[in-house]
Amino acid sequence: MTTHMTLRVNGSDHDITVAPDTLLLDALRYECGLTGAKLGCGTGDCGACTVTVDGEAVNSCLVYALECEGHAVETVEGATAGGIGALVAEEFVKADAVQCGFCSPGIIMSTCALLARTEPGAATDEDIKEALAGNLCRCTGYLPILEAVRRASGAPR
Amino acid sequence: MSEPDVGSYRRPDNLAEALTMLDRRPASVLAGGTDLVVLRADGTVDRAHDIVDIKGLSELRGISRDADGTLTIGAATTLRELARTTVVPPNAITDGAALVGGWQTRVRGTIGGNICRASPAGDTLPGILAAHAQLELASTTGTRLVPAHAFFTGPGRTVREPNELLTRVIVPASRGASAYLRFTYRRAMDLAVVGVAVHLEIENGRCVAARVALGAAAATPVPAPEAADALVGTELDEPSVAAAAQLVLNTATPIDDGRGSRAHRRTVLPVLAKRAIGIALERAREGHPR
Repeated sequence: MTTHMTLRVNGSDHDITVAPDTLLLDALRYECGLTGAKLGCGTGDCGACTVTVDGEAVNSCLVYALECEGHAVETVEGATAGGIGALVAEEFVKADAVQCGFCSPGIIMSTCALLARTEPGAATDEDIKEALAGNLCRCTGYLPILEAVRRASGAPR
Repeated sequence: MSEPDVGSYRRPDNLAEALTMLDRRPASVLAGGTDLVVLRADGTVDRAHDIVDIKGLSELRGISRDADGTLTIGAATTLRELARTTVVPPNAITDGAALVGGWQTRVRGTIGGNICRASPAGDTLPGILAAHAQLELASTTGTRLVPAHAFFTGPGRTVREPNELLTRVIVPASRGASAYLRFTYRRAMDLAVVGVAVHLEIENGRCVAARVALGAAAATPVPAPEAADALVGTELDEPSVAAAAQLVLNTATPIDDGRGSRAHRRTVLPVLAKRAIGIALERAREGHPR
């Protein structure tokens, strides 16, 4: 019952073998070796597994790998390798927005999706809160995260 | 290694092919997956069923308004698209779409999925009822239209047959305005403790038609006709609105559960109803300045 498929992640094609209901999250972690996206709740409540599919933030625990054939997946590994994602990661470090770090990859991916759809400096605190409402952090109290996203949003791109 | 009892993943190229797939073998319709993936994982939905992924079908996507004002929403339209649409002004259905889950849920989840999941707390459902929407179900043998108020039969249950696909939500033309409000403990990522949708039509300052529908107040979303009838003929002044809002309790039969007690829900419902009437009224006045 397994199928071969091509999963395009971070600009590279991965030829992988999946079951009909293999989660995108599991395909990324166990087939592609990309462990940035984390399994938190498995029900779409915590956002630790957030990646982007065609630029939109999604919970990879709620998406089957096969749904992504023909679409472009980006994980925190790809997003922070350069460009705006690297800047976001830098601001997270500077603002002390990372404590245990389990939620950080997902929050960074939600942030990247937000910044991709807003002009530099245009994201309001309301926009940021709306974009990150699906990402839980149990360490920071969110204020350093908000500050990091504000700074990243305001930076020239 | 995969288990032998898992159905196949299928992605039909068009609507006809999708309907044939649903006809041929037991299958679950996959749109956004934000509910279905969880329900299959926990065993609520049989994993042996095929997965028919309809989210890419162009026949099922988009929001359009006919010349006569009828609004058609494709069932695979995402909640995000609906929440952001400029085809119609903000209304009870778009209010509901904007409240479901978080960003990740709304870019993936669809109006058709929210409806077919048939959660009593589903945020788009009271708006669909208050709009007097018709739901179009298609199968290989044809299509039928079901009025929203007759679609839901219990928590998670609808009149949709396993071989039928919800294709479109058809909202009749109206000169009115509507709003949906819910009560939750968190602003996002929460399920309605209770919700209220209100549709109002106003002429010369007087309410000429009204519809009220409640969410998470019974086993299905339910109309609250006594509250609606009490609004008609009034000028929607404070005492009339307050009196009508109280009448939602004649319809509400909420349960005690983890999100709220029956008593708490009955306390909150009239307050929400009053506020939702206020928002609908404001929108009606904006739409028909005088």
